[in-house]
This record gives sequence, structure tokens and C-alpha cells, in this order.
Amino acid sequence: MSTKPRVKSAIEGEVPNFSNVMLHKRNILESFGDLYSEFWQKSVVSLEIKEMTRIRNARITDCGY
Amino acid sequence: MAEISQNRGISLATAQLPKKIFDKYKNFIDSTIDGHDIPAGILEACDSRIRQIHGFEVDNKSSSGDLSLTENFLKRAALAVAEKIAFSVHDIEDSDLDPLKKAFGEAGCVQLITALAFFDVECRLELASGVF
Repeated sequence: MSTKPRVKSAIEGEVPNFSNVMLHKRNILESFGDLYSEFWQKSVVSLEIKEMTRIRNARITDCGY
Repeated sequence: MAEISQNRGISLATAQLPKKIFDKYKNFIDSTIDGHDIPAGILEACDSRIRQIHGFEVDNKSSSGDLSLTENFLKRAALAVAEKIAFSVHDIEDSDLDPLKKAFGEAGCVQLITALAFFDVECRLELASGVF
């Protein structure tokens, strides 16, 4: 597993993070943001359950998010 | 690549996703495969490999016969990353991505990694829901 980002930030001088790395492909970042925000809308599945599963998934996959 | 995109649309529609999510998902997945930085043949080969790893039957129509040596090398490099994406993502090394980054640039790498990750996601959606 890499301990440093493998892709640079699309914004010069910024430390790479999910958003500024994805910004290399602006259309992908925008369509992802559009979809992801839809998942986080109020729906049949409560926000609490969504957040709980998000955190569990991140822990299991050893993801910093 | 239009075929991949179209097939995805059909399987997602079969899953009866809420229309709003379906439309946004389709828009997103299309943006990952129509990005122009990565040759369509490489994405198709990676998609097939990931589906095979998850136990799906795939058409083995992908051929390397008409690819140049460089394209073949890059296809093999992309397939190596695709194979790790499914079950050993933590084993991906810098050296796995270096030749791809050199050939396709930072933007190409973002497109490739995103596409591979969501090829894997789609397999998991199909397996978990059982309705695709």
C-alpha cells in the first residue's frame, strides 16, 4: 500500500486529496459529486444507517476516509 | 465503448434503481469510460477481467493481435492493476501505476483508476443484489 499519493493535485501547490486529484478529470468529478450527493439525500435508508455503513466499510478496507 | 455503456444501461435499468439515481449513475459511469485518455480496448479488457474474477461469464472477444507493442504493454499493465482492484487493492504498488501514469498522464490515471474501481463496484452490485 502506498504511503504517499500516487497522483498529484490538479491544483499546483496543494496537497493531494480526493477532490483535487479527481479534478484532473473535471467531468468525472462533477458527475461523481452529483451521484454521491443523491445517495446522501433523505430516503428510505436513514442517514444514520448510511453513515454507519460508510464508516464500517472504510474501517474494513483500511481507508482514511 | 458505446456497447459497454449500453449494456450497463440495460443491466442498471433491470435493477430498477430509482430513476434519479439511475440517471446520475449512468451519467457518472459514462464519464469514466468516455474520457478519451484511455483507449477503449484497454478499458474493455479490464472490465472483462474484473468480471471474470468475480465469476461472471464474459465474451472473450478482446484481442491483442492488432495492438502495437506499446499498446500491448500498456494493456498488460492496466490488466495487472485491474486484477488487484477486485480483491487485493492494498497490494497495488507504485510500480504498477508508473508506466500507466507515464503513458496516460495524471488525468489518464484518474480516469483509469475510477473506471476500474467502478467496474468492480458494478460486479459487487450485481452479486449483492442478485437482480441484475
